[in-house]
Amino acid sequence: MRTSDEELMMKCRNGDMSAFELLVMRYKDLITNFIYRSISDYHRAEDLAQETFLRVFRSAGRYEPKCQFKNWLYLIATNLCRNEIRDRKRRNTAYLDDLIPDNEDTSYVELMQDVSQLPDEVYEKKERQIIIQQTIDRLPENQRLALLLVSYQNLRYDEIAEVLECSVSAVKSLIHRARQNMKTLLIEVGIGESSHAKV
Amino acid sequence: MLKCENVQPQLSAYVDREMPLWTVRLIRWHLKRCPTCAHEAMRIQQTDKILQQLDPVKTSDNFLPDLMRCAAAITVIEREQISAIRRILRRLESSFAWMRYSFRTRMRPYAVAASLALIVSVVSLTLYQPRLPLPSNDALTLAQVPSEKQALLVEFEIVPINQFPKPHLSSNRRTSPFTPVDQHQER
Ligand SMILES: [Zn+2]
Repeated sequence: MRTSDEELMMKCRNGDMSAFELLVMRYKDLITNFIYRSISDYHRAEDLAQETFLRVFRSAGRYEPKCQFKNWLYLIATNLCRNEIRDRKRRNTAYLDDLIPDNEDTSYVELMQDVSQLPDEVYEKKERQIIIQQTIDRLPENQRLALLLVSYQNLRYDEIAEVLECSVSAVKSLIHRARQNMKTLLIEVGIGESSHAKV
Repeated sequence: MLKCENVQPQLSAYVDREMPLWTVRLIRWHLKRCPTCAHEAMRIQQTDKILQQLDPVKTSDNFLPDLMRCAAAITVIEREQISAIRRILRRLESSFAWMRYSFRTRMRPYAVAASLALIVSVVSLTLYQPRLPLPSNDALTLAQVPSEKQALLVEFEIVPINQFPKPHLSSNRRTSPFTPVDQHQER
């Protein structure tokens, strides 16, 4: 029988390193993916995922089993993502605005240079993924996080409310607005309405 | 009958099945009859499918070993911190024990003397009443002042003693004893 996350966390609280390792094994890919899609930087996403687990480990003593472990884990990851997004925004406004007129285009060119050596099909798929990721990046912070949590991580609205520390109705409205914006942005970049066949 | 403007904000929650069953049925019933809202619902599902096209990434091979090494280091540091705190507490405990011991043996006579001195000073401060100047009393002033001057005047034979007016000891009136008797009587 599978040991629940909460039981593992209680063991971890008593200094059981193997319980902690098991928890990391369960969630490392999910958390890294979530962070990666939120900040679109793989190496930084790995760092932040490690930081998320280390924070869990450090505060294991304060963990209350009444709170669902998964939500707590996503809450920590989400806060780290928020800090990262804000830091980047601050850095960009402070230093890069004058130097690089359109940061998004620059990163797009860099990413396309990475995949340009691939076979046509793979190249097309990669190109499409890069465009989708850039569309996600254009969403406001909270809408982006909420949309990724529901569509990409399959969390329920009440779980997202716990992670984003807001009400369920706020989550509902955030996701609705995020999808509306996403739809418009996808049409702008040529993915969406005209590409029914691809989906 | 549901209106389109009420249905459309609910479509995201409908697609995610985040609403009571009776609302799901109502919206489904509306979607069968309204191509606009049905198209909108389809667009939401399509957006989700596009998001799910993103390939999941995998963590690198050294993710777990690195993380476990950091966690182990934290454990060691925390253990050291805990032992440091314990050492401080033990030192404090031993110094308190020394203080208790020295009080019991060496300091007791001094402590008793100091306590007695403290009690005495508190009691004396409570009981001590400073001598305040007496309130001015007209009768007394009238009685004292003439007696001194009277003696001087008599001594230098300025006034014969039998002509000197008697002070009004019981009177509160501010009358000078040197005022001639007739003047005093006129007032
Ligand atoms: Zn309608």
